[in-house]
Amino acid sequence: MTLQDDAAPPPRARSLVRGPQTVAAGLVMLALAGLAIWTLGNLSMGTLRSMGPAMMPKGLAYLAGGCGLLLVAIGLVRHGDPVERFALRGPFFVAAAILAFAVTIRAPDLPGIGPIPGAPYGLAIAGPLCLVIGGFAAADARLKELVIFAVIMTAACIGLFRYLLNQPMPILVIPGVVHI
Amino acid sequence: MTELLANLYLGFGTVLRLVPVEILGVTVPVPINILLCFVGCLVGTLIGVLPGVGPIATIAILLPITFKFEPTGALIMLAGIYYGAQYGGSTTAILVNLPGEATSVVTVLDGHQMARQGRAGVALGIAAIASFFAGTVATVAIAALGAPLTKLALVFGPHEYFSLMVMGLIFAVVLARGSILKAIAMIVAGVLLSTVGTDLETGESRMTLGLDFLSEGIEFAILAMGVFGIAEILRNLDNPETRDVVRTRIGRLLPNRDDLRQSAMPVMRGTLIGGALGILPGNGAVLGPFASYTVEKKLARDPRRFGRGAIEGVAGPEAANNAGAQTSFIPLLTLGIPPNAVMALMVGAMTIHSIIPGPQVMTKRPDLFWGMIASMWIGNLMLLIINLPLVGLWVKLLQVPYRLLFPAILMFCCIGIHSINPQPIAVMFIALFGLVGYCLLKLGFEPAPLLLGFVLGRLMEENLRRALIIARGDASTFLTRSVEATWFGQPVSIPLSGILLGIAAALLAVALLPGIRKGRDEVFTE
Repeated sequence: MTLQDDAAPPPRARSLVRGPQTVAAGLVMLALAGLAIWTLGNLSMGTLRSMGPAMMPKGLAYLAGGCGLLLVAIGLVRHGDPVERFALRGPFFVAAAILAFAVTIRAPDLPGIGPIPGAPYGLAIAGPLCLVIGGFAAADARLKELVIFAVIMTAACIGLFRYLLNQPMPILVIPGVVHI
Repeated sequence: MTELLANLYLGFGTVLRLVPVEILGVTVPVPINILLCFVGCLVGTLIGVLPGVGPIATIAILLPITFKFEPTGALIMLAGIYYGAQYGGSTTAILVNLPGEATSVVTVLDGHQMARQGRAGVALGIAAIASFFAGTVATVAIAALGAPLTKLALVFGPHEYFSLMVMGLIFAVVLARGSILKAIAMIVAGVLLSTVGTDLETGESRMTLGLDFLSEGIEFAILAMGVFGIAEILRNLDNPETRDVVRTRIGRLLPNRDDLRQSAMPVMRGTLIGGALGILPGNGAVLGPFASYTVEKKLARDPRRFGRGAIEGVAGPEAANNAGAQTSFIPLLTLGIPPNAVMALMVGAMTIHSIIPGPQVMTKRPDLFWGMIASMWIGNLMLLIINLPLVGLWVKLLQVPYRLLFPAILMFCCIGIHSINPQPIAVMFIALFGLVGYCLLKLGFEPAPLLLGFVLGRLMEENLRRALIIARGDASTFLTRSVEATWFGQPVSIPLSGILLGIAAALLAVALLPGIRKGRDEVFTE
């Protein structure tokens, strides 16, 4: 049986999971409920008369878990959509672009590593990094085009946000050399 | 009636107010609010026109730029952005055959066919005129209904508020697309997320994972931009682009006499249908265009014309769309309860300006309330004026390939978040929420109920606690408590909270009935 056959509508009686997407959705809800209950630790529930900090979130976590169980059960019984293929390229480059922006817009101070003295930062660095790295999320990315586009867009954004909208945002700081 | 006129006068006075501003050392009086409305409409359309960016994503992306202004101006600008985004979505639908979001799905059917027949201009023109007409009617409706509904809201105590919010969330579930259970799950997840952070009553931190950043709760703008802005980008990247920008000429913009005659009744009906559905909590505004299209098709002498460029198929749904977009402000402004995700964004924006939406806004800040209502009408007028001449520009913008558009949107999101919260971790969180939102979409969850639950969550917990304290821990208070009112001069007591919960329960039960469920699925798939 090939993959194409799998995608076709005829019911697959032999497989245990009939609605994989629903089952996966249920598992995610169960995980969320578990995470919530775990992070709530032993915060007090309180009573109905004076609710403790954990009453509402814990109640909701049980509800979320209940939804998860129901979804899993339905997914096992009823035929449903397969789990869609997850792309990796898009999420990877987009997340990397955002991270690059986050660490270079202000003086870098990485969790676990600490501040990096002497590293340049500012919108003139964060902007192009974000645009070029992010651009590679598209399958048809072209480096040269992206670089040119990044330079123009960054210049426009510096003009717009820093000078027109007066956002307090460093433009280019190379410690000891430049400070704009 | 005179009160209404006085109120509208106050509103227009606020919008048209001149504020002295120093430009290059010279103090010049500037109508700042109307300028903000104009800029809002313009940038709203600019972002809204981009394929794959719906109104929610547009507002989420542009939210930070409104934070700089004083509350009245900021909200006027935000409303402008909203209408701009709506209209931008319709423009894309007509020109590209690519609905930006649910409400313009219907516009695509006949609008794009008209465009292919060389009548893109007329389609855009009638969409603008229909929207303007619907907007005008809806503005008057809001102004007329605002005051009485606000009085109604004053009898609401914590019990009634809690029950009303439960009902609103149930409406949102019933009117959401796709699986009811998944919509419930998303709402629960949204409310759960809203409880992250320091508990206001006891001061203990909940579910913060030891991060200082989370101690004040998850910031609304970050969540919205992640699950809508970034996740949308990721989803669009999955689908290789098949953009079909009209190559034929746009043609004349103004509809001729025949067009207008054919559209007049559909526009009126659309306004009525859309306006009525828009008040409903949940996704009411989305149903308007669908309902209007169905009605027009049923009433048409020759239904076969629909789907082949019938002008009624653009005029009616566009009117319904805009009327609904506007009347969905009613529950927000009078009761303080956002009926859908867009309004949830408005609540987020208002809270950031330390305005708590609800009946007290009208009494305490009448200039803000009526100014916003007046700006709705002015915003609609502006759309009519700025959009039609700018059609050429939008077409150009639509020809920019997505591989360049999305990195720019990405950077705007980063700069936007950075400008409201300068900690690097804030920017990192939009990546996290973006990935989460992408996974949710892949698993068939709709993110809109999540956002609605998140916004209502805090209010719900607060009211739940208060109500239970008043009732000394007796949970049955939500069913039994009654409010005093006067009915034809007679004092009566109504168990309002119980009634609201009853409606919610009945609604949910009905939606789960197999027969209704089938009908509901058909409405959304058609």
